[in-house]
Amino acid sequence: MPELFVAFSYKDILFLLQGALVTIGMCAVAFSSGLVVALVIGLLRTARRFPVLRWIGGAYVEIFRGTPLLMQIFVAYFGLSILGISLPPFVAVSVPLMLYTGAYMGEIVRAGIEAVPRGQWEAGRSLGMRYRQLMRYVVAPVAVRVMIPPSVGFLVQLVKGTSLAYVVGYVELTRAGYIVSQSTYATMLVFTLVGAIYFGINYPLSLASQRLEVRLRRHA
Amino acid sequence: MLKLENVHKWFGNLHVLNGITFDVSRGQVTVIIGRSGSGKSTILRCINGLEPIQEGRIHVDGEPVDAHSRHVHKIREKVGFVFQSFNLFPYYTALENVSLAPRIVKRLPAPEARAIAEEMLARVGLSDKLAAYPDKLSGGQQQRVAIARALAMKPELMLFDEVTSALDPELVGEVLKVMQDLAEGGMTMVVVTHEMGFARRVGSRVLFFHEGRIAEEGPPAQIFTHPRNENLRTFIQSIL
Repeated sequence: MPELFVAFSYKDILFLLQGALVTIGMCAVAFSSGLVVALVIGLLRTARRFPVLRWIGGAYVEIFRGTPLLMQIFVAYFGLSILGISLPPFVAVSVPLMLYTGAYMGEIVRAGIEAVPRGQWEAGRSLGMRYRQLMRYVVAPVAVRVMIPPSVGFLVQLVKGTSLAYVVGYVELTRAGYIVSQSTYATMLVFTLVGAIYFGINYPLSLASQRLEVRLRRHA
Repeated sequence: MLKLENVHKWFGNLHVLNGITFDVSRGQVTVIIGRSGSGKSTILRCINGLEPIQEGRIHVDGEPVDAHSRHVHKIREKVGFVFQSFNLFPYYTALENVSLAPRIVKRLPAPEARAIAEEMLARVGLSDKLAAYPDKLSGGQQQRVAIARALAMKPELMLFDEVTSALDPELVGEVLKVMQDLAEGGMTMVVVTHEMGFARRVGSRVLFFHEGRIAEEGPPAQIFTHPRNENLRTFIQSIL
């Protein structure tokens, strides 16, 4: 038994933690840029007076939600390289993750906007507010509160989704675990550790969102 | 001040407004009464462009109201609207509810917007509730905040859409009092209501809506004591 762990040292743990940092970084980039996409998609999807915009938003969501993330990463990395466009692995993974985030979060944004009662819109309009002012000052405060739980749910999903980056050889947490397990043969131990690190990233997210919800619910 | 000419509106096949024509001059309080479904709330919503009309013309202060126009918000700045269901912004305090539009729509500096909000809340008797959130206020208080919110834009015309219908009976009085003060202060108002006492006391004249038309109009005394229209007579009997 002990000889199984001979090669497993603190260096391997550091290597895993480095992978975890890459995972977190990739999530941060994908989620923040994806939110911008999501905002646009959510606004398109709720454009009451412009069916064409609604259609564009809807088509986007269906395409990126209806195809596997893995395939999107493949296309971005291998597909484009066939066409002579070669993206660095970080980009090849982050861009599909961003677009994927845009689709899922776009639906959450839409649900948030649609959860705002009609009377709120009308009250804002009757005071002379323009669309932008209405969105920012009347709709957003209500919508954001509705959006928090599903957004965190999605973010946790995204953290785990980044493990797909291993297919393009990008060393994030899962790939790091694979490499360590190959060199140490301590497969069980390594992947238990990897799982624990994922959990260690996600659980605080859930806790933070619960706190935020309680704080924001104070007035409603 | 307000001019409606032959206004028609359909909801699908339903002809909700069937040729409405009336004028409101400055300082006048026009009370609209009628059964639910008679089009009385719809006409208010058309006046500030919340609902489009299909035929006819509406002018506020000489300017045409077109719900589809990109400039309709300019007219809304001059027309205050108070809703049956208050529609206060839930995550803003009373003071913020009232100061928001002056600040962001009229772009007044924050201290000035705040001063206006304090003044308007004092006018509706809520100086002690500036920091309260809507969920901590009674229905009557919420509705008074809503009136203050509309007044803070310094409108030239105020529209009231059954503003006491959602209130407990003991809270109706405080809201009507505020409206009466406003009327006595010379505000031009169009009031849709079931409060016949208020209509009598405060109304300059009364319009009786029936099936999308103005079936009868006149000063309150005449409407309530000598109704000519058969529908108006049965309506008044059913209410009293």
